[in-house]
Amino acid sequence: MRERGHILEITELQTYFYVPEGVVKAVDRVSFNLAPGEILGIVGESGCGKSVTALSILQLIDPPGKIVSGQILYAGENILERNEKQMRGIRGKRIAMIFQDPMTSLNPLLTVGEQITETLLAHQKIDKKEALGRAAVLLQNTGIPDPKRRLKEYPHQFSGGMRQRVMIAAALACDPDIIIADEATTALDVTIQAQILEILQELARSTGTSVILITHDLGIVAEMCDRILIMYTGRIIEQGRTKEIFDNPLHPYTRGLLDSLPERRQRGEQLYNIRGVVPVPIELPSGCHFSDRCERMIEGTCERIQPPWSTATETHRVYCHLYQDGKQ
Amino acid sequence: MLSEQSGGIPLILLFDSYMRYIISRVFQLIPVLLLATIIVFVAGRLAPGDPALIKLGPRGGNDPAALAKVRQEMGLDKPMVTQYVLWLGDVLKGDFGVSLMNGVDTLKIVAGRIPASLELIAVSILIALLLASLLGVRAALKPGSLTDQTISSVATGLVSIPTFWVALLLLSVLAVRLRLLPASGYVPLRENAALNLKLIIMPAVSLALAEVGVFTRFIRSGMIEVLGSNYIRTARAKGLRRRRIYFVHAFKNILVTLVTVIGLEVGTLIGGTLLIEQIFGWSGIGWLLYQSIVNRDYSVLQCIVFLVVVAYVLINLIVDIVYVLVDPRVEL
Amino acid sequence: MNAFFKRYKIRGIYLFAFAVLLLIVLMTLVPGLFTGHDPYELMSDDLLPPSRQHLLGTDELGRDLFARIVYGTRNTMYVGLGSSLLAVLIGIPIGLAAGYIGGALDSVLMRILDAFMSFPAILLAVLIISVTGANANALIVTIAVVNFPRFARIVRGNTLYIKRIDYVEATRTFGAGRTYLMFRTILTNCLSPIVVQFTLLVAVAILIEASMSFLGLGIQPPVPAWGSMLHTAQLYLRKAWWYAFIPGFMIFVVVYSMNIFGDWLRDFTDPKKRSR
Repeated sequence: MRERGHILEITELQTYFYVPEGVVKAVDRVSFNLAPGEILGIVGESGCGKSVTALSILQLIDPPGKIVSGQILYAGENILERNEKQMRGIRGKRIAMIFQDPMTSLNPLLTVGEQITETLLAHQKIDKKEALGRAAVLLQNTGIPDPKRRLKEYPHQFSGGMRQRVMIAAALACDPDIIIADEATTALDVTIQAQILEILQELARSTGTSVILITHDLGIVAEMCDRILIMYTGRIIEQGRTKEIFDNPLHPYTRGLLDSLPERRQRGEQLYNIRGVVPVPIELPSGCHFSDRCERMIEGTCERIQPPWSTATETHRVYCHLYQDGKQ
Repeated sequence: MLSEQSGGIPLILLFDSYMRYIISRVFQLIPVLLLATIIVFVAGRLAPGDPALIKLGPRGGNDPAALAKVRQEMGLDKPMVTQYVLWLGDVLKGDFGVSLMNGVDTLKIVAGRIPASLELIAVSILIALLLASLLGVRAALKPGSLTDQTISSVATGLVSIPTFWVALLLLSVLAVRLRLLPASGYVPLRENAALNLKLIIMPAVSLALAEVGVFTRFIRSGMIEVLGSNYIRTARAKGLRRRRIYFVHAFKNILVTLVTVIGLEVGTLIGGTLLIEQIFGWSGIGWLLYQSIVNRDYSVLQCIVFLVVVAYVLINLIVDIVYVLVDPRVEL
Repeated sequence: MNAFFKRYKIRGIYLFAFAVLLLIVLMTLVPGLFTGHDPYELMSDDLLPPSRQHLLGTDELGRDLFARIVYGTRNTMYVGLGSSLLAVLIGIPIGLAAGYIGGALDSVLMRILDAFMSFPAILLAVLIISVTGANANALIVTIAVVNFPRFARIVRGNTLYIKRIDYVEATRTFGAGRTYLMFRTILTNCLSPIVVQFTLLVAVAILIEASMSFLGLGIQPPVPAWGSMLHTAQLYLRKAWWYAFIPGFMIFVVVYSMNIFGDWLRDFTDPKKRSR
């Protein structure tokens, strides 16, 4: 670890979407920290707010969404107070983000070289030639051979996996402190997925960059991440070190997620499913959002009262009525 | 760009595939062009008036022998299809007959008027694009907002305005009442640039106004779609400046289809010159067309319509081909 | 009231358009409601400015301008609606046939439509009028010929789209005849886009009619028509600017309202609500 302080400290982040049907609390009082050089996984089903959290960090939330309140301390400064112009000094430069669909996330009419060098040219005082040189190195580092030639090519001349490598190269261009990977491998084949994750992991480790890995795939998280956050309908319901969570899942939802993994079943045994469905984001119960699907729900408490935080270990916390400060 | 894209493939083969595409497009167009010329020809034959007389010129009516001879030469006694073929042959050689108004070769007269209209149309398109870009991008930045709704309503309004009404209003206010601009006339750009520009303002603005509406709508919807796409999100996440995002990333993506729309609107613009040029005495093709209508000069009328149709079709063909050449995604 | 507005997706500007169109309908059907004067009667001095007796003044022959405007509505709407109906009557079968039967018929029809569309609208209209001579009925046919190709294409497009939907296949398996399928099933699905296109056609038709009358190739004087009034007004810009302003303004307002009406119809009948 480079320093003791956290590189990112998010406190009580609230991002709401104001739609005709009502207010969607996409991110509902989310708090977590990110240490330098750490790989943090945010896991959850679609719509649980993990992407919105990431976008909120970079203030990329468009109307009808709005970051309502909270604090995001990056290297000690609350970047939520920065305006658009000031945020540009962070985006792509200190905190970078890569997205899910490499097919559509790159501009088809610009060469790959242009799309990597533009980050460099926007944030650093270098000339075009130097930028191209750096871009070639970046491409090489992500495992693309013959980078000088490929820089002149267009995205459609690359395969899905290679496009994602291009995205990674562009993201790493200015040597950011944090990379956010939002479902970066979801649209890729399983084998390519593994390659991309490996590249990401290697590059992150070698440069000391922190990574926030957003995914719904627990397998990925188990392989890659140091720590995990589990989100459900806008809230973090459990967080802790990867090993801790997998060995000792505390929250019933977490248990359910792990139990649903086919690997956890014996051959021939019926697959497990968490009963019920994810609630519509507008009609959420006032207490614990998971209460109506929870097998261990406490009547009268869970659905009415907000669950408290309980800590199992210094790093392992859960947000549930079943635990009152320590083990159940 | 072509050679870079080809990788190891020799240049010649690549040109070959583009050439093949061009040739196939041209082939596809030939039946359409032929049909269009048939329409022009049929209209000509159905119109009141004797084609032999028209060809002979104003003095032909006095000489029945010459008339009969010309009639035979022109094959007016032959079946319609043969007549059409003969006519087409003449036309392709540039022979559109002689103008009834002054006995001069038709094509010559028409060709002389082309530069004036070209200039007018070009200036109109420029004005329209400028205004439309400003309005369209502004509206696309906040879709559904009051600004957007206002701009959209304005665009619909502009499309509904009769161009000749705007022309008359401009004329009455700027030329008649305020005497800011000369009311009518034409002088070639080379001769007197200042006067030419003064004279072109009102006609160009009149023509442009309706096009502003069309282009604005198109730019607006194109930009909205593009701005919602993922690569724009990526560009924003990179912390790029807004100007670069809008003009390099976004606008580029609508540019090519914008050119296609412009190609299509050229037809409307040409039609507009018929109305506008005669109001302002801007002696281009539209003005000439109006004169030929009033004077029943059918050979000039036919010639202009023929040339306009061919030009219109060719322009759109060129636009299509350029589209294919410029878009790096298209692989032939 | 608010719920009514929301349900029918009415906004301020649509109300304006409805009001205008209502006015136009009234002017067309009962012009006497608006003016007591005869549009043909040479009543007073030439080119009088607006006054209490003549609401918009008089024209160059001493006729009441307001009366000419009001009665002109009828002629414009006659041509506008008539030509659009004709265009629709021609366009629907062609579009349906091309789309549904496809193949060689489609290619041939498309080529013919393309040939017509390679003429700028006004030029084609001029060409045809020079053959038929200029009067209201000829204008109806002319504008119909100018407008039907675009319309037929749209019908064809809709047909192709619907053809792909399975339930047409399903109906076919019931042994329904070709013509029956074409007209009943496909047509009923095309209906709303067709109605929307019709209103837009009328808007275009009115503009073309006005342009032609302005050129002297449309409705002939002394029959009142806004386009030809503008043509005459050209000569009197100095003395009577309102003469140039009013008829053009009427054209603009009617066309604008029709366009907006068409937009509203489109929003209203669109099953998936997409933002304008």
